[in-house]
Amino acid sequence: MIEIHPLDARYRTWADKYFVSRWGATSVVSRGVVYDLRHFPGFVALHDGEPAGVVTYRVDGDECEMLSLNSVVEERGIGAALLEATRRHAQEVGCRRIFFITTNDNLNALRFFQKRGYRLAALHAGAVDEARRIKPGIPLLGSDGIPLHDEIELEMSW
Amino acid sequence: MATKNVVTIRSAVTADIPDIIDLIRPFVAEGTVLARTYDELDELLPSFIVAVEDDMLLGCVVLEIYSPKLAEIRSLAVARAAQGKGIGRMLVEACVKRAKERSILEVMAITSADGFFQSCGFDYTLPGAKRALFLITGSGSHAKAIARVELRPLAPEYHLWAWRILQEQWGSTTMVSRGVLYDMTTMPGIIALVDGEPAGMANYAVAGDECEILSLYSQLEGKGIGTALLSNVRAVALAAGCRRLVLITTNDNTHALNFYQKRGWRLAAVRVGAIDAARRIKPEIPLLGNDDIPIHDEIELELVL
Repeated sequence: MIEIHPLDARYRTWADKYFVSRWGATSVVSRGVVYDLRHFPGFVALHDGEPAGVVTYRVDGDECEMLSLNSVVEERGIGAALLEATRRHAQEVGCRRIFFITTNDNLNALRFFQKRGYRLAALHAGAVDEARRIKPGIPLLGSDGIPLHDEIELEMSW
Repeated sequence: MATKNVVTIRSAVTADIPDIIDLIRPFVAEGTVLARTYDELDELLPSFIVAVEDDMLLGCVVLEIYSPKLAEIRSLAVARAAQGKGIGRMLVEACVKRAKERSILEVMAITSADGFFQSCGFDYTLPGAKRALFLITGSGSHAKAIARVELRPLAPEYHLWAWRILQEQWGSTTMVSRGVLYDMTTMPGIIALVDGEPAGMANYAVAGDECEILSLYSQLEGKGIGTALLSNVRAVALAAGCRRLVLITTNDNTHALNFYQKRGWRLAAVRVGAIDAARRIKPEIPLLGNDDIPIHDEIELELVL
């Protein structure tokens, strides 16, 4: 049983800890900008009452950017439920498009989003190499030992 | 006047891996060097030292460091044409130097070329009453990890096989890439033979200073067939004066994104909707691809030569 709740004070401590456990920090870099996820809205997925996934986003005019999307356990529909909650919210606040920036090594994300109706929107070649200058902790090798260089933009528009 | 070529000894980089595989292949075949898969080489890369002359990889060696006490020299190979120039010795010396820099106490070698290692200062004896003892616990089947791959140009004798494979892979013997329709039966290619039987194929098109891989097929995964074909196409492209290799794949093909990016290729472009447009020229292009991902876009991967 999956329940979706806004990422409010009740879940912030859990979420902050979870971000640190996933990638050693609470910040992400997207399109050359550092976002500290502690200051952005989101949703938490509860599985049997326990936090099991979290999404964060920012709304900018008629665009909504998902800054992070993670689930503690895979293949339970948690990611899909969080994706759906974010899309519904984006539509309610008048966005025309929702997008997510991933990296060239993240083939799981390419599969996950494209299977759920997201489309490739753009390749930002060398963007991770540039982001590494702002955030030197970004590793050289990503998932599966693939060298990390580029950002890939996925989107859904309506 | 002939100039004396300089042999450089340096740490290996990712781009060396295909050349290392080519270099050790004949020695793996004769059983003097253990077979290595691409992933193993990738993992061992920081331990690899190579000998290079005029951008040609002539030799390689691995110093596998097991503990602060012990390292082993492995996978020592020098291209046949470059043997007798002291390259093997230079590589062994580089290993010994690296071991000393890291304060490793002993460097060992298990080899049939014991005379050579003795001439590099190695000896059978260890200090005091110590002896090296071995017990064989494995069957050695690991040595079959890389198949014996023979590469040949796509000659008429392989056409029937090639066309059947193309038909299976692409649904027809025509292919659309970047809006151009190719009749694949007329494109040059390379066949990979395993135990004398066709087991893989690469088809390519050279245009100006660019070589495009139109199709890369391997019957068996993880045997180094794709890697061998890729490195052969690279050699053909270099010989033809090309400056870059290009491959167009589709937005659903995460397997290709993994395979090529691991081998040093870069994402060069995403062409949104290009397959939707190609489907108008070739209506049999399916709507759904791998993992049931809708096929819409072209992704261009490149390797700058």
